[in-house]
This record gives sequence, structure tokens and C-alpha cells, in this order.
Amino acid sequence: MENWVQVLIIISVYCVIVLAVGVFSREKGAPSLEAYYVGGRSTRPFVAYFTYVATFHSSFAFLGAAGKLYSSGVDFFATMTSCIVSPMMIYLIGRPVWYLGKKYGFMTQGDLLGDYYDSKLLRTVVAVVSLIFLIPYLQAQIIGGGHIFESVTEGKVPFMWGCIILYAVIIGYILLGGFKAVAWTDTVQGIMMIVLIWIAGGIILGKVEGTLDWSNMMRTMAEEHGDKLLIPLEKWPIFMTTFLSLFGISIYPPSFQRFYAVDNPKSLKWLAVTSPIYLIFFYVPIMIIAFLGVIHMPGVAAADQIVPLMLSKYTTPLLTGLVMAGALAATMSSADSQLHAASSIFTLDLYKTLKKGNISDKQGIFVGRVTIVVIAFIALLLSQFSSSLIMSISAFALGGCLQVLPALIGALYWRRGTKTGALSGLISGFTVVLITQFVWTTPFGISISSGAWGLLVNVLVFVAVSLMTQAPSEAQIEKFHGYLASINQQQDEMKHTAEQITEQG
Amino acid sequence: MKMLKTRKSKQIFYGVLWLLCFLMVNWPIGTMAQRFEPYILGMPFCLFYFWAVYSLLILVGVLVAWRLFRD
Repeated sequence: MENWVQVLIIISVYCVIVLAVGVFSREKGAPSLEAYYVGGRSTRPFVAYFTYVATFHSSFAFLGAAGKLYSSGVDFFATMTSCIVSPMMIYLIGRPVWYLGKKYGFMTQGDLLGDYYDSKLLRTVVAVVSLIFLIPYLQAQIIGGGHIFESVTEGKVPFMWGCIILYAVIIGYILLGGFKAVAWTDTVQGIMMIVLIWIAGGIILGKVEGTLDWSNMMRTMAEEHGDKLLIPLEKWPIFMTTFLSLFGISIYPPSFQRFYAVDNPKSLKWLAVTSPIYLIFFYVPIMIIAFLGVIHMPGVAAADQIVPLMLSKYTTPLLTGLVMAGALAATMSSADSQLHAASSIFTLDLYKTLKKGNISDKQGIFVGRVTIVVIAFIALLLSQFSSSLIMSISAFALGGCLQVLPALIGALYWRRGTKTGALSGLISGFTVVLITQFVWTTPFGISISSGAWGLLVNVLVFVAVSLMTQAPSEAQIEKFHGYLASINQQQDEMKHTAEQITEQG
Repeated sequence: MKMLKTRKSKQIFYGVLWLLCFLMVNWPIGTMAQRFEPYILGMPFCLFYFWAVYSLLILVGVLVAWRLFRD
């Protein structure tokens, strides 16, 4: 049997398993909107952990990260700072969002912000901005999936068919099972990804070096490719600020939806500090494969292909198939969450607002399902006419999603934030992201990411305009800040009493 | 009042601790680790340093969650 056929069979089996997980994990009977979009707020810690980390890791983690390490070395470690720092947002933003969501029934960012600032316009702007950034990001995932299919089947399954198969599978389980299907398939995919990449890294290291000891590889890297192990002085500003843009990944709509979905805020607390363990250790085998590629397979023009190329050269078709199924898992686990989040934003923030009233669960889920098919189709169509503009949009999408942060801080922590301040901050931040991405790329000679520039201007405008305009009503402040403060006080008192009892005992 | 003071001082202590670890991967401290010798666990020092400090940052994060975070 030819290699590509073996690989295709493995990937097909994987697709069937994922579909089956989606079918079996779905809500029995007719689901409510809350069940379909946030899993009935009952996601347990184990599933919450994996659905978060798998959503965080896209096909970039498998292919792009290795490509970056292969072509430009440890500059890529700047992303790791973000892997550790940005999940802190899960606690700082996610915890209060969970309490408010539980009490007032919020399911999206727009829900919460629109209610706090009492503004349908703000809710619509947040929804539109989120969709603008989600669709290209989603499209980048389809492109990644199409390329994986094409490369592992040696072109026998063309790029377009790869994209179609990928989306048919994803749409299949989202339509059937909503959030629960997404979360459970993410869990299977998240486990698969880390197990398979470690196996691949170990096997390639063993085959190439004859041992699992990487000392020789590291010494060769230092002696012959030392430039890839050091960060040049001029790159430190960007190295130090990349994480600011990547804060966006912890509050972008798919991650935000997970804040509402967990069964207990404790899950968010521990997710904030333990998810980096997965994120950081995922990159160890990726680094091994990339460095071995630098030494033993120099001059690969398409650096993103270094993982499949090393697999094909040093392992069996079976392992190649399995690991590439892991790469597909990374693509699918991000794409499904993005698609599902886009559907919730359209249904709850745009359709429901336009309808000017409550919609029934049945109607909402129907609209949500139609939206999933339509958005997937748009993204699929766009992926066939990929342009550099679209790829650039997806590259700074997280910086764009980050612009919601100041408005969120206003709703959760800063009582003086106003509707006008939030709107003007959001619009100016978004504009600055576009300008510094495409027009004025190094303002004042400082090369930091466009998301960071946008955030800086956004915060300044938000604070200045808020201080010049009328503060939200006392009732509104009490509804959000007062409620959160009462929970904090209650917990602090309980903890204090427990400590006193321990001291006395 | 005493309860608030205790929490405030805890916040400052753990905040500073976390920030110190974070600064270790950034300029100027991080740039001092940009060298190959000595090799530790088979890795050039610069690589080992990054992995060690990132791991430390994760550990401090867990400590902060345990001692400071609510819920």
C-alpha cells in the first residue's frame, strides 16, 4: 500500500472518531441556547482545561512554530512569555465574567458590555469587530488544514478538497452537539496533540542521533548555528512586548466563551496558572524537530513544512499519519471554537438586537446553526482566494481582539469608565491597529506590535473621554461592581474566619 | 480592617515576586544570559536559562493562585 494511502486511512479514522465524540457528547433532547452556546455552564475542570489549551493552539503550533524555530531560532520564545502571561487574564477577567454571566445570563462579550454600558451600539460594534477578526482567523485555519491534507497525501487530495473535508467534519459535530461537542472534541484533540508531538520528537531524535540524549544536537547548534540560539539586542523590544498583543488570545471570543462555560470559578483560577504547563512543554519536541531540521535538512524554503518533511524522512508512514492527524487536530480544535463563537456573536449580539426582543431557544439555535454553515462557507470560499491582505489580517487579529480589554476593565474594575469612553477607545484602538499594521509600521522608530500600539491609544482615549463624560448610573455600577465587591468581601470574610479558627485551634 | 491590610500586603508581596521572575526573561537581565557556556542538562546556557525561568514563572503563578487568588 502506498504511503499516502496509509496516511489518509489514519486521518480518516481520526475524523470518524472526532465525529463520534461529537455525537456522543451532545446534549440529549432539544438544547437550550445556554446549553448550545456555553454548555449549560457546566463544563468540568478536565474538559475546561483541554478545550482552552487546544483552542489556544492552532495549526501554527505544529507547523508554524517549528518553521519559526527552523528559520529564525529562539526569537520564537517571545511567544512563550505570552503563553505564561496572557492566561492570567483567565483569572483577572474570566472570574468576574463568570459571576456576572451566571447571575445575569450573559453568553458573549457583547452581552456583558452592552448591558453594563447600556448601549446597543457598543454591543453591535464589539460584535462586528469580533466577527471581522474571527473570519480571517478561521480562514487561516482552513488554509492550514487544506495544506496538511495536500502535503500528507502527496497532492492526491487537492488543497480545496482538504479544506472541504476539514469543514464538513467540523460543521458536522458543531451542528449536532454545540458547545459540549466542541469542548469534548477539543479534549480528545488536545490530548492527541501533545502525546503525538512528544512521540514524534523522541523518535526523530532517536533515529537521527542514535540516542535520546540531545547534548550532541545542542552542541552542533551552538557551534554551527549559534545565531539561532541568541536573541540580537535590536530584537529585545519586540521580544518584550509581543505578549501584549497576545493577551488578545485570552480574551478573544472563543476563549471568552469558555469563561462562561465552566461549572465553577475555581476551574478558571487553576486554568490561569496551569495552562502554561501544557503550552510551554508542547514546544520542547517542536524545538527538537526544528533544530534537527536545521542541522540535517538545511535550506528548506517552506520552513512550515519542516515537521512533515522530517517525519517522512525519519519515521514510518504510520507515525507520519498519526502526527499529521495531530496537526489536523490542532487546526480543528481552534477552528471549531472560532466558528462556534462567531455563531453565538451573530445570533445573540446581532440577530437578537435587530429583532428587538427575546428569541426562543429553538429559533436562536436554528439561526445559530444556519450562521455556522454560512460563516464556514464564507471562510471556505475566501480560503480558495487567499491573498496576502487576508493573511495579514489573521496575523494581527489577536491584536484587534485585544482592543475590547479597556472596555472590559471598565465594566469589571473601573467604576468611572463610560459608554462614550469605551466606544471612542475601541474605535481609536482599532484604527491605530490598522494604521500601525499597514501604514506607519514603526512609529517613532519603535518596533512593537500593532496590537500594543492600539491598546496604548485605546487606554488613553478611554480614560480621557470617560473622565470628561458622565459616569454610569449608580444602579448600573451597583449591578456590576457592587455585586462583584460583595462576592469578594464574602469570600475574604470566610477565609479570614477560617484562618482565625486555625490559629486558635 | 486587619483582614484588608493582610490581603493588601499579600498582594504586594506576591505581585513583586511574580514581577521579578517576569523581569528575568526580559531586558536587561535576560540579555546577560545570552551565552553558550556552561552547558546544563545538555543545553547551552541561554536555552537552559529560558526554560528554567519560564518554569519558575509557572511555579510562582501556581503559588500566587494558591496563596492569593480568591475562590
